[in-house]
Amino acid sequence: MYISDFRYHRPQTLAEAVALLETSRDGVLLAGGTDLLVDLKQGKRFHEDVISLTRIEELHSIELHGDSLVIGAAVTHNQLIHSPLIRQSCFAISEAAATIGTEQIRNTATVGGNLCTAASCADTAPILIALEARVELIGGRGRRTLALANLFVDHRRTALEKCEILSRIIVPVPPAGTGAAFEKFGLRQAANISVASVAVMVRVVDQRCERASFVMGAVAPTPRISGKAAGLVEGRPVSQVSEGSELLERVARAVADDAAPLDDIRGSAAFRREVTATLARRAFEKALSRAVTGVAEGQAGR
Amino acid sequence: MAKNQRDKDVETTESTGLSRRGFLTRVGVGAVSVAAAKSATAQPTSRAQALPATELSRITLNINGRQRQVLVEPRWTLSHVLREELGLTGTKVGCDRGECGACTILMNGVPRYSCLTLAVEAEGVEIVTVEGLMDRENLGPTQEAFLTEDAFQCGYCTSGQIMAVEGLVRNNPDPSVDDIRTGVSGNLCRCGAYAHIFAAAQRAAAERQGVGGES
Repeated sequence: MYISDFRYHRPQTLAEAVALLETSRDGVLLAGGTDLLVDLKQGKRFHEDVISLTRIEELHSIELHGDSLVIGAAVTHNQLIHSPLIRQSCFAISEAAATIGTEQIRNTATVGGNLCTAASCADTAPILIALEARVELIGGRGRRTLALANLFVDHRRTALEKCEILSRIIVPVPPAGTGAAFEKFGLRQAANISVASVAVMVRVVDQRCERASFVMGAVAPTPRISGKAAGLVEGRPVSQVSEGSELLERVARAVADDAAPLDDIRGSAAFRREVTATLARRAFEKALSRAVTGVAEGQAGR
Repeated sequence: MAKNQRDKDVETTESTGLSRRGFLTRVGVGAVSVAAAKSATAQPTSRAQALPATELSRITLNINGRQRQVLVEPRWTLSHVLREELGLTGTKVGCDRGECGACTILMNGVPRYSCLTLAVEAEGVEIVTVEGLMDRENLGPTQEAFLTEDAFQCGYCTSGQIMAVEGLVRNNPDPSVDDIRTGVSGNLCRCGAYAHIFAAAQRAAAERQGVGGES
């Protein structure tokens, strides 16, 4: 399969990359390329200029800046999975990254690419939104940051302006007493596209759920936050929302009610809604247990 | 034949600095191509590098421990360049869109799909192909493990499977069966030799640890 001709650019800095985007008629950024190259090969899209992000160093690091984890947009999924910094402070991000693609894809595809492609089934988005991540966008007029939840406008549409680049993802390190988890359902174990997914974050202070966040993937054009479910949980004692409780069932239903799923080849809307409720319950139980014990099982793993 | 000729010419250019093809390229397309070739081989500088769309640019790839200079178009994938430009046909192309795994190679020690990587993106990366696992004329331990465990039928997916397992055991010396399943989950075998492939992966890991592969 041949790819149509393009000029290849390899900027060394973000400013150079932005300048290239500004001067090109239809420039496109190449990060991992696992989506872009397939589209180019299949003739779904054509670009005169392809701008590679491989040599822009700041896009490839994972660092702790004060109370925030700063993840470069070109960090690969396997880097997310194996980063000691992420495993310690936000294990659920590693957990979500591990559910994506195959080993080869996880060694290639980037978190910024996953977010900017903005497929409704993107698996890094729900957990990052649940953890209240922000994204830094760089364009000709400088830098701005945006709550990640506001990056997504529609299926495959983002709030990025034409010549803007998503440079970093900034995740506030959750304070002690916070637990998070990601649950996904797909039709198989590998190269597995989400039928539905749910990320949950819950913060427990004095045996009470002080704050909670429920974010769904693949059941709406964009990642979807369930405000209703968070409202049911916040302020409640842990004992009221524990496993098997009636309230937990209501929470799971509330998440499913906030979904806006479609019928497609991977599942009907009704099925997706049911799966969403189950995933929400599982993810909440797991997140709550992590919040209470302070440990995520598997966290110490490789 | 034209391709072999081109490959040879590149090698010639390396040694003498003056080949017929190199000469023609320079005269034929002039300054643009010279500038492009220069920028492509230059060390990273503070300026953005650019390669033109429809012309050949010279890049250097580190393949199996050797620096190989090769003329490429930006749109060529690494699998294409390995096979068609460099004659390293051990790397196979199945689906050509990152689903089957036949084209798996190691890039900086981890498995990736060479059909989903542009050759120009692989500059500065350590590339290992299945040919690079050989110990002179002998099979390397992972290759040997596949032979011993009869881990193939038609053999088309085998080099990709071997590279996925090689990547796995390099990074995880004692993989569990689950680790192995995950490690080769990006490689399809339509003959269905999976059980033997898992056994080969266990043997490869054991061989690497020097315990003889009694798995």
